[in-house]
Amino acid sequence: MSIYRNILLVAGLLAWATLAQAQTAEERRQKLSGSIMQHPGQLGALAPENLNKERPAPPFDLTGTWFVDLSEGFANFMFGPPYPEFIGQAKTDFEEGQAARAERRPYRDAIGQCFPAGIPMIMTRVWPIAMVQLPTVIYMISNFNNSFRQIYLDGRDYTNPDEVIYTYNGESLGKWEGDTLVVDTQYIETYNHYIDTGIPISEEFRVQERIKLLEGGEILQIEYIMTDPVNWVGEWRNTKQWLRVDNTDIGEVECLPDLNDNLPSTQAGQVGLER
Amino acid sequence: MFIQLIKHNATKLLLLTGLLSVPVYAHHSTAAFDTEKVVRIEGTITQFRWINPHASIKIDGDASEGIDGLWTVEMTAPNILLRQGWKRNSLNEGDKVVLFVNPLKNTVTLNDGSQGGLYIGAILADGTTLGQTDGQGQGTAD
Repeated sequence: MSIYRNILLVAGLLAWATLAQAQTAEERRQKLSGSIMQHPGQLGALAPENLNKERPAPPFDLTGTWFVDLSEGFANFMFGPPYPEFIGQAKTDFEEGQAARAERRPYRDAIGQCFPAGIPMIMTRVWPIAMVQLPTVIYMISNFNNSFRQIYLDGRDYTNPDEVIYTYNGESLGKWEGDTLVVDTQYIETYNHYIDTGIPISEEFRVQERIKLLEGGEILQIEYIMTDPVNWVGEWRNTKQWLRVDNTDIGEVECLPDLNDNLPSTQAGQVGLER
Repeated sequence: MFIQLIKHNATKLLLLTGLLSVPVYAHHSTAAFDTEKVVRIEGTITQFRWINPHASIKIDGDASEGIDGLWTVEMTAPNILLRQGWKRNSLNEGDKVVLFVNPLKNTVTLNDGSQGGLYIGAILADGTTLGQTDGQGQGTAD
């Protein structure tokens, strides 16, 4: 009998010890606060409190899988011509890139070397883009290297410029203007980040996308208005379209370290890259 | 009659025009390949990678032009190759096959000592043909 009593006693003590150690989720988060990335004062885009805030209904929903419309020519993945008037280093680089293109020589094939395509080129890779629209944010995942963009719709401000981390897709904030979603992007990483045939960007590069859905939601249209006073004069404008594709999904695509050992073109495409 | 034909086929013509536009740039530039030239390589498969974003082949054999020996052949994405009839196990190490490729414009020796080409078509060991195998054509990596 005493054996059973002792077993019960030990089990009771263990249960008590376990309960005493149990902590709430908040207490555990506090313990990890040094490791969890935060932006104080701003609810995350997926926080229920943020998602459930009252907002006007959006004019459209981009949720779906989209494929860039190159039906009128493969070269339409590029954002020119027409091109703006390039200045400074961009003028030289543009001319070199055009000459290389005319002679079918590789030039600044940064993407082939696994540098991210970045905005705007990531939008016109020949791969589908999955878009998921929520009240607070739009997630865009290009099938090409699974490159990820997020466009915040929750009214937040840009990150403090002293703290921001520049990225190839930049920081994008969107707002609705009538039937158009206007997305402004800045804080765009410049290192081996080029447009079309090796056109460089500076930290003053800004992109505005004016987004509409056409033909009952079958066509996504984005007008690009790009400025970079270091590299060109005025606005560089170009309009692209994407087609809704309901018979596909995006998959996993990785740029592996040894990928280029198996791709002859990329070993020849390093001319003009930043080192 | 001709004008009517044009009108009725406007969409197809437009599409054809688009398809004929040379795909100079794919995910990365394929400008390094001489798409006017086709090399026939008969040899043995030493590696077949069925992976995104590009499949690839290594073959050791005799080339109709250029240098005999190891060739690295760049392909498009597996999902696109599926439509030509390619499968994950279409090639195995040791298979005797014939490949048709656009060679690199300049005879560059790659890091592993191989020559480089852009896939156009293949004749597998059992005679199955995939892609274009008439000794013509332009490969694509898009």
